[in-house]
Amino acid sequence: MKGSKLTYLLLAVFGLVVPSTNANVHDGKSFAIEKAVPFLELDDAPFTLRENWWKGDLESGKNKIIKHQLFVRNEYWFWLGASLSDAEVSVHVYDGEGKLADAEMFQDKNTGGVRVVPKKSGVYYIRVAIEKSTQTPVEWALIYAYR
Amino acid sequence: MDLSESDSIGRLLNFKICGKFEISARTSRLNSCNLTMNQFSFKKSLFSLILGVGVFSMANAAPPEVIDLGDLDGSESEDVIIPIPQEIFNSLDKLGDNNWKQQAFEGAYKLDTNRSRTALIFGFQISEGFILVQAKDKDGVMDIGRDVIKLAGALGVESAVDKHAFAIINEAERENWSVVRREFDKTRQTVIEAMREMRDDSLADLVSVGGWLGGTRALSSALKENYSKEGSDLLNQPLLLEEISKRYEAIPKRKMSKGVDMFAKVTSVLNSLQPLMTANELGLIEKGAVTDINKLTDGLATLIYEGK
Repeated sequence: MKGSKLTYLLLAVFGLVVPSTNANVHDGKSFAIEKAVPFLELDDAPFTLRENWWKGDLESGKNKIIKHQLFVRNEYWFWLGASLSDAEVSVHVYDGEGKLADAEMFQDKNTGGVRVVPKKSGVYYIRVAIEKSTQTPVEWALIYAYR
Repeated sequence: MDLSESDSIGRLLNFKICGKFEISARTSRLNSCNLTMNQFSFKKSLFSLILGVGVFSMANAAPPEVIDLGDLDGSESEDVIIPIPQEIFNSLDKLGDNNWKQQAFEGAYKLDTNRSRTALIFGFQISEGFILVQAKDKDGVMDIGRDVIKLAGALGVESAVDKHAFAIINEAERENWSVVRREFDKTRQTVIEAMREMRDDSLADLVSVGGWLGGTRALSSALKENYSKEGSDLLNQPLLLEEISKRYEAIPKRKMSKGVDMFAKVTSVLNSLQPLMTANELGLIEKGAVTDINKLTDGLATLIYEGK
């Protein structure tokens, strides 16, 4: 996990990670933040990363739904990271009627991301999945930012 | 179906499967796959094809276009994240300017030995911080920063919070609002985590409850002053309200032995808000409901600050 430690140090320098409140660094979260950084440093209207985040364990091939209130006129990015670097993950968002609400998404091995532009305020359903992994269960973390 | 034709289809699909899974040694593996196919019987090919396609689908599954919300098997909700007021104010401000300074709560408080009340006030004050940042009120934000230090001390978490509180004060002085917002969020999260580390989940939940009530009070105040159907959509928060009520009701009542009336009032207000903060059949929160939400939350804030 040399890479993730480097990422953590880098983020600590940028003030994005607070050592005292993250004494136990979560590798999945570090991988997710690594993907988030370019969006948080945009010159024009950067996203604001929330300090809150979700974590858990999932068996390979399984998914989990997380409920979250989103607000119309905001734009959100969710990033999912798995602690195992050889895991494959995905993350998608569904609206209050259960319809896919992804505006944009990516999958990159043990990280994934999805952008959402809610059409109305309300509860949205975030589907996190471990698509494939050599070891199981897989520790994951989900972070999000808004603007 | 012609055997050779099936075999060709099988070979084609198996080629794709191999192409997916043996990417590290693409050329040699692909050749190997084709050679293997030539030696397979149709049944074996079909079996490997079905198996392969199954695994292939799992690894690259396109997301379902629709999920059944009534059957979220094994998908219990994680802790619902309470949005910070900034997330909501951000959306409202896209409809037009709001006079956030005017929405700040004027109440003063005196701390007593009731830590549950202190935790509620802490949550309220953090939301006040977000309101004053939105108003770009430098002095007001710096005052809240100092307040945070005092409240954190009363809750026994000052060592974890101090650096964020100082950052709030310093960055407000420089009018570096994006950093101040981030520090308020960190302050809130740090206090909650510190409480949980001290196995005081009840106080952590009270900080969340206070923060949500404070944000709802300010939002309803801004909407009352400048009502719009689009803006009222932001108060449609039945899930959050349910979560807040659930957390509040789970707090052991012995924690609230002091100030019984005040804590009973919180329960009563949360119950009264439920129908008001659910959109009607037109998908709206009507102006009358906005006024009622504001009256309830403002009255509750006054009660908590006065400690009655």
